[in-house]
Amino acid sequence: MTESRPVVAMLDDEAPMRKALGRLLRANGFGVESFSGGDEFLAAAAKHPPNCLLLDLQMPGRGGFDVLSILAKWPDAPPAIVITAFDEPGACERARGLGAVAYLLKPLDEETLLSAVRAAIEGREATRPASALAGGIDGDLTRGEST
Amino acid sequence: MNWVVVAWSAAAAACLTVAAMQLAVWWKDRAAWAHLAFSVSAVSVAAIAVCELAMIRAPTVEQFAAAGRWIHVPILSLHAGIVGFVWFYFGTGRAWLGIASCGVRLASLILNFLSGENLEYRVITSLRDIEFLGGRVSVIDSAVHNPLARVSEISSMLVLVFVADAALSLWRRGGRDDRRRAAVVGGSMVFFILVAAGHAALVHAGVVRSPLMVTFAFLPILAAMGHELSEDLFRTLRITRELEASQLALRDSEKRMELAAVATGLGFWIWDIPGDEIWATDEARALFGFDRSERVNLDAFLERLHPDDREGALAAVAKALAGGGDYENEHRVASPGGGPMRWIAARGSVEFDGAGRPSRMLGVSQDVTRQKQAERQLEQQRTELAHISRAVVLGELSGSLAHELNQPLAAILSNAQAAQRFLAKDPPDLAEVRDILSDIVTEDRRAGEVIRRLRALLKGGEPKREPLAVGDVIEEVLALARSDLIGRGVAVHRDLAGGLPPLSGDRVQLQQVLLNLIINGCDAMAETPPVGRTLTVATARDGAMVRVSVADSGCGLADGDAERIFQPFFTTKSHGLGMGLAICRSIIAAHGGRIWAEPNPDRGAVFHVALPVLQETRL
Repeated sequence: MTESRPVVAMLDDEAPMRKALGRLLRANGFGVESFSGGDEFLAAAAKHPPNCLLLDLQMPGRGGFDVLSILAKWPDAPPAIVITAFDEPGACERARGLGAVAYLLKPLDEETLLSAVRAAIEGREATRPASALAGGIDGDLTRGEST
Repeated sequence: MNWVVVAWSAAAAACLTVAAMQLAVWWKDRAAWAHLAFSVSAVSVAAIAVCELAMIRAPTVEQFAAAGRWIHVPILSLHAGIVGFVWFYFGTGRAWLGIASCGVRLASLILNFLSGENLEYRVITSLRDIEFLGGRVSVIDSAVHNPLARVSEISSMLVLVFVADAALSLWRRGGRDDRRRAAVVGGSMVFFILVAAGHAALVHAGVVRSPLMVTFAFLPILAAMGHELSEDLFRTLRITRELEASQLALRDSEKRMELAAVATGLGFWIWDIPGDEIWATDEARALFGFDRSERVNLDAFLERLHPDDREGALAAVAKALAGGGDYENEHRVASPGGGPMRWIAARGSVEFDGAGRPSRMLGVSQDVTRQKQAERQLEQQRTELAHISRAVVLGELSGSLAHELNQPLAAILSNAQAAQRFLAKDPPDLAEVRDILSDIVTEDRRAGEVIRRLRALLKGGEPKREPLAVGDVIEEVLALARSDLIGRGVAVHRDLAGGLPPLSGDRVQLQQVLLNLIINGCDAMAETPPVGRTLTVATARDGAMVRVSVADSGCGLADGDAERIFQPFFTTKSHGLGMGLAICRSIIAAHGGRIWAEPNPDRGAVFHVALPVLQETRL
């Protein structure tokens, strides 16, 4: 990780997921910080805020919504992109209400992820609501959201 | 009217009447020797009465002496009659004593005809008329006594001893009837023989001037004997009537039993174990396809059974013979004419002889094919219902399952795309790619495992019993529900006992039950604050059972719900059919276990499932 590279923080309770996304982001020139719990991330982010946060919703203990609620009160909170494996009804709206800049469904392809991350870092809206995985299990797994 | 004639004649007539009655009884029942002995005694007393009357009315010494001589003939027969009666009726007399007394009496009769005027008098000189019962009767005026009369007295003493001894023995037996007979018959005989012999001795000694009255001394004896015989007759009559009534009832009962046996297809059989021969009713023979005349033994019976059921039937027989004696078995029998197999249920009971050896087995067999078919249909319906219920449960878990599948798929996709990037580098980062491929394999296997579990739960078909470690079943279910639990903010606490014995059960069905309980627990905690949403899954050994408990901290059970929630279509949820727990109960019951609910001491409810461990379960 270098100072010039934008840093993306990942908060996901599943290590394989953190590892896989971390590789993809590093391969695309991003710095990566991984966290398995909300408290751990919040403590680190308070000192060195990342340029962007990839946030899983379903986690034991302090879940994604809790983290979003806390970040919403921070004046310089990093932009948060929610990535979830289950599109629970109302979850997208709730995340948006709490300040998430994008709401993406797993599995998500590289292009979708990178455009959302870049858009978030550049402070632009992530406008691309493309399907992440053609012929995927649910057909429409990705709901691109703008804030 | 001469009262003397009337009295003696009446006595004789009464004696002959009762003699005729008892003779008739003996005639009907030749084994009733006591009745014959009574008749002989009564006829003898009548003859004595005639002789006494002849002596009373004798106008000459010669006629008086002749009557006094002939009276010894009926006295001998009376003697023999009394000895015979006591012998047959009491059954306790000493034979030698009875024979000795009769022998001495016979000797006295012989001496009676060989010496003097008769046994009592060597010479009778003159008679005298005296007043008796308002009339004139002849008595001895002067005579020379015959010393041989002592022989007669010895005979009387011997018969007295014989009767008293037999009565005493009878009394000592202690039975109520025995004591009454000893007292009434034995007592009256001893007393009145003493009276008769004493009176006769006084008359012969000339101390008492009265006619001989042996007749009247023996009337009470005859009355006592007749009373006891009549009692026996009445008792026999009553028993006979009761026997007839019970035989009638027995015939009715047999008839009813026969009707019931025919109506229900019951076949009765009795197995003579030492002779290895089985008697069977027509219904029982028809069940096994035996002809009416065909000889049936254990081997013939076993041959008719389905080969797979023979060993079990033989084991059930051996168990009944060696143990408690109860036989119970179900076996298949080929239909006559090659039709489909029929199911026969049999129950029996072994009888043992005095030495404890099995002597015979009585039993009943019944065709239960229809019942078996109904049970099978019910089992199929239960299986189908359980299958549908599983699909419903998995529907509720669809979010969680999507999460469980999407997580590895997402990791695989990201890994694969990262690998493309690393390969495109110059030079390619092959070490990283190798690492990525290894992770892809791992994640792919993880996804495959989720699909395998899903497929197992969604698969229909017959339940399959196998040895199961309860801890593994719990972990598999918790893995399936993991995301759902996280999503609902429910913390799972495991309190699993170590070293539990394996269960025998259908893995999928038991997973279904646990999944139901876990989802119900989560539903019950929907209104619980997130911090307090704890689900505790515990296991424990409970005697011959293993108990699994799922405790939640939810809304708990309303009064009476602990039992009602297991009824079909009962639900406390806004969604759902209310079939989940009803199906759980039927699954657990089919496993020989028990499921119940009770309030959680802290908060919420606890659901317990108790299942028999493998060793105690018959597969």
